[in-house]
Amino acid sequence: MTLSKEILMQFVDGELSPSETSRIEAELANDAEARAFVDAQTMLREQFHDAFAPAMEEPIPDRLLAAVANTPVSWRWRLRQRLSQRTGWIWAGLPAAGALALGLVIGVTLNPSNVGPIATLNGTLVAQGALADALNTQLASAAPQGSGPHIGISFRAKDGRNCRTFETDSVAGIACRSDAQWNVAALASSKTESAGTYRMAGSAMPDVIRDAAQAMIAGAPFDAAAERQARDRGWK
Amino acid sequence: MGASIDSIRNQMTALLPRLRRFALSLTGNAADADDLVQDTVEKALRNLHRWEEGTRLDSWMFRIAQNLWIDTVRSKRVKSSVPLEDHHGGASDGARDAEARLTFADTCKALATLPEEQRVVVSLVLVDGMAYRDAADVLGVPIGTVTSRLARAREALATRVFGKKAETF
Repeated sequence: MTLSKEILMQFVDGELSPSETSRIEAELANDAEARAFVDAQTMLREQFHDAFAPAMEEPIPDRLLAAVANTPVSWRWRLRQRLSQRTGWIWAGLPAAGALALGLVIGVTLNPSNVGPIATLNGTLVAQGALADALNTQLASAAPQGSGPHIGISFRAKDGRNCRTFETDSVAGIACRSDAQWNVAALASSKTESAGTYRMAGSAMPDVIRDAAQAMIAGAPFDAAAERQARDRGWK
Repeated sequence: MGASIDSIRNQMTALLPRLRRFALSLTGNAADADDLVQDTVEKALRNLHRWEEGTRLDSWMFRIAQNLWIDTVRSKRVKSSVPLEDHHGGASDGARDAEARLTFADTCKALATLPEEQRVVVSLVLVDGMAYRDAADVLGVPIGTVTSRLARAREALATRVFGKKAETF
């Protein structure tokens, strides 16, 4: 027998690649000793499997079902869940900016009800209301003065979507256009200055958003003409 | 967002048959097996923060089960100072004929002759049907360690189950 026992056992256990399997099969044809070994090991495998198979069909004892249902979960796990429920959905929309997520999450306070610039839709963050209107129509090159959402830059992302940075009174972020809505791809608090200071339009976009945009962008931001053209095509 | 506790408990319930079978092949009797599964479930839930979400729940629970079992076996051995099984026994009666099906008791007896590490690998690969890679993941050892432990276990089992004939291989 020229084949090693270990490789024959791997053959029996289905651990070999298709090409190795065919090589062993070819060698087995000329090696009665190896064939007998494979037969014995196949039988061994089947017998051990079959001997314990009835355990899979037995009804599960109540005490085990009760243990699964009633054993309290560690408080550390529950704490972690609670933290990730508050911040986890901010992560949800982050494609390339994963490394920045922690920075984005810090300091963000979002109203859990869907009143405000951001809503959840099927588990993703989308822009709504005045922010969605601004994303649809506002040109960064012709930003209105005063309060309300402001658009920073518009660009094509590496994944092919058209994206825009934005700022409202409370949050700043990046929204990318999908078929029916603006998905929020990154989000951070824009309240970096002390309350009462009026933020100039297009002034200090939070660094984390700037960095996230740089990570996402393919080429350069749209100029005024490209931005207008994208808007007229509905940002698709 | 993380998996909800309800969905984790559901996954655990779905794992119970496999865990019971695994525990049965380790312990060799139904009462000890169910004790082991219960301890495993309770330990898993009480230490759920140690489970890395996104990794396989089944591998993690099998690992807990085998650790608990090895601890039990070792503490029993220290207390009793008596070998669990006569390691020099021959093939069990009725199993000498390679065509004969092994009874459940024969299988358990044969498994009981193996060192714990080998018994765990046989239980994972032959009884549960895990791939070597998954068994290595449960045990936290390289795949080559699974391959060699399994090879030694199989030679011992073949000798015991099929009699002296197997030694000619």
